[in-house]
Formats: sequence, C-alpha cells, structure tokens
Amino acid sequence: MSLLTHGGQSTFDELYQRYSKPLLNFFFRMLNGDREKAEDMLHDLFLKIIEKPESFDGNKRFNTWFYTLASNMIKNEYRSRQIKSQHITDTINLIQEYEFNSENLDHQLFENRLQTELNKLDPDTKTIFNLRFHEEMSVKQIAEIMDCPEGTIKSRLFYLTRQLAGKLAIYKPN
Amino acid sequence: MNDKDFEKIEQLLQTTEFSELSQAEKELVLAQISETDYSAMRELYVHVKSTNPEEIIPSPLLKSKLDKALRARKTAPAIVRIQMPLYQVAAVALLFLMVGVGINYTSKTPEKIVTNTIREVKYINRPVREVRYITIQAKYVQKLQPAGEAEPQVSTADSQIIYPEIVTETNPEVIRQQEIAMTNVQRVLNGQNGSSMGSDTVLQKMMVTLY
Repeated sequence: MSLLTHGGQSTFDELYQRYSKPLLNFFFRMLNGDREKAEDMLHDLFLKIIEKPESFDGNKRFNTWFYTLASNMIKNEYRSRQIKSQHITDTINLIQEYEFNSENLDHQLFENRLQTELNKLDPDTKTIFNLRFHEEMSVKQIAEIMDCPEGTIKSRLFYLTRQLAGKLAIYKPN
Repeated sequence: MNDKDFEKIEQLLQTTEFSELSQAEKELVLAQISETDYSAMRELYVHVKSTNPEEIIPSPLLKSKLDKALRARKTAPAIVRIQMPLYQVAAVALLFLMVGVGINYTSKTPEKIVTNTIREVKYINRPVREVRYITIQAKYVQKLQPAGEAEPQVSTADSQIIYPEIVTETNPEVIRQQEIAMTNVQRVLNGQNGSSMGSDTVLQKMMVTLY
C-alpha cells in the first residue's frame, strides 16, 4: 500500500488482477445478478483504494480488507434501494425459460428458491452465506471481515443453514 | 453447541450422508439436530457445491478508467491531495467569518456631519417708523495747517477740535461722518410717516436674513 501511495502503476495492476474478478462476482451475487451495478461498485471500491490508500488497515490481510470494504458497500446499497422485488421477477422469468426442460427443472427450481430465500435475509447474514459457500472462506476470515467473534459467525451459519434447508426441502434436486 | 462440534458436523454435512455416519457421529449429530434436518442441510451443501454460479469478468473499460484516475492522482499537486473532513473546513470558514464580523463591529467609523447652509433671501416690506440720529464723535484728525495761518481755536467745552475748512480728501473720516448725517436728514425730509423700503432696492438688499 505504501507503493500505491506513491502512485505505483505496477502495484495497482497486481492488486487489480488478483481481486477484481472475485470481488466483482461477490457483488454480482449480492446484487442478484445486476452486472452493471456490480461493476459500478467494483469501480468505486478500487477508486477508494486509489484515493485513500492510507485507509488500509495494516492489522488485516489484503483479502480481508477488500471484502470488508465490499461488505460495507453492500450494506449501504441495501439500505438505499429495494432489491428483493427485482429478483422475484427474475426468478419467474427463469422458471418460464426452463419450463420444458424437465432434466434440470428441479435443479433450477431449487436454485431459484434458494436465491429467493437468500434475498429475504439481512445483508450481514447473506454476506456470511456467500463468503462461506461461494468464496469458501474460513470462519476466522469471515469473523475478521464482519468484525464479529468467531462463535457468533458459527452459530449464525449453523442456524442459517438449518433454516434454509428446511424451506428448500420440497425442492430436493434428485 | 461448542466450536469443535460445529466444525465436526459441518465437515460431515459436506462429505457424508446420514446413513453412512458411524454410530458416534450419529450420536453427535442427533444431539444437535434431527435426521431430517441433517438430510436437508446436506442437500443444501451438495447443491451449492455442485452448482457452478455464473462468473463474470470485469470489462476492460473499467480498468482504463481506474488507470486514468491513478495517473490523475499522481500528477495532482500535494496541496490538492490534502483532504480534510468537511466539518473541519466548515469550522475554519466559520472562524474566519466571526473574526471578520468582530473587526467590523469594533472599528468605529467617524460620523460625518454634513451641514448645508441655505441662504434664503427674504424681502421685508416694513415701513421705517423710527429714525435715529447718531452722533459720531469726531476723531482727532491730523492737523493740516497750512503754513502761515493762525492756529485753530480749541473749544474746551467739548474738547473737540474742529477744522471746518479742512474738508479734503485727506480726511476721509470727516467726510464719512458728514455723508451719514446728510443721508439721515434727507431721509427724514423725504419720508412722510417714515420712509418705506419698498422702493428702495438698495435698502432691500441690505436686509438679509441668515438662517
């Protein structure tokens, strides 16, 4: 980050190459597949890094720090607009698209239902789910990002998994 | 549920069906959740793992925008890069404003008093009803006694020295006194019940009232 402070292009290129794709997909999943918005948020995140490299928390790893910024941005975005209603519309369209394909219909229905239930969650819980299941981060890393004790993350994760599983039981994709 | 149990159960959920669990593992699981819950949770883990979520790649335009911003930051002068919180800027501005207002109030501006003199000429049409005769004491004039002539007579009664023959241009004081006297006499003689200033433009002009 000190190199970036002095305007190192190569340093910035390295950071962008490592983190732009995973962060973009994180935003993409958290924003229900809104690619345009996901790219806007990725741009804003890296712009913040360019303009305020001194804001880097030296006690955290890069990975953790990036995702902390990203999750805070997501929380702000959720507060500012309604996302759930848009995803319900997308889900309906997806079901119609796969209506005559019975092989993956159950799978798609399961996936759609999962996304619907995830959209009902608060931003923190949804972030924990995505970081654990999609980003495959450890509980310790998630605790650092969310600024929560590990025990809290574990209990929330366990409760969330059980709750979602109960609601999706009828959509078993067998 | 303690941390170790959670980690163990989660590992089992990701890898093992309920029917394949050992007795000890089943006891561990059943102490926390039911078999139905275990099966449902297992389905969720399997589904998420098997699903390949759509992955997108950032557009090249995004990178070029960020490179431009990085170059702009490099070329900006150091003073422009100084960032202050907005409340600090507002506080400094308010402080300067208060100092300026305070200086303005304490400095005394001298009051400028402007007087305007208006001269108004009033013509007073007033008949003169009283004539006062004034006697002007003749001053001692320089004796211009021609050579060879007798010395003038001195009247001790009024201690005035009169030189009736010496009325020349060199004695302006005497001339003035006689003129005044003649003017008064003529005025009295010409006026019937006093003289009016109505036809006397000179006298009119002399009567000026200053306000």
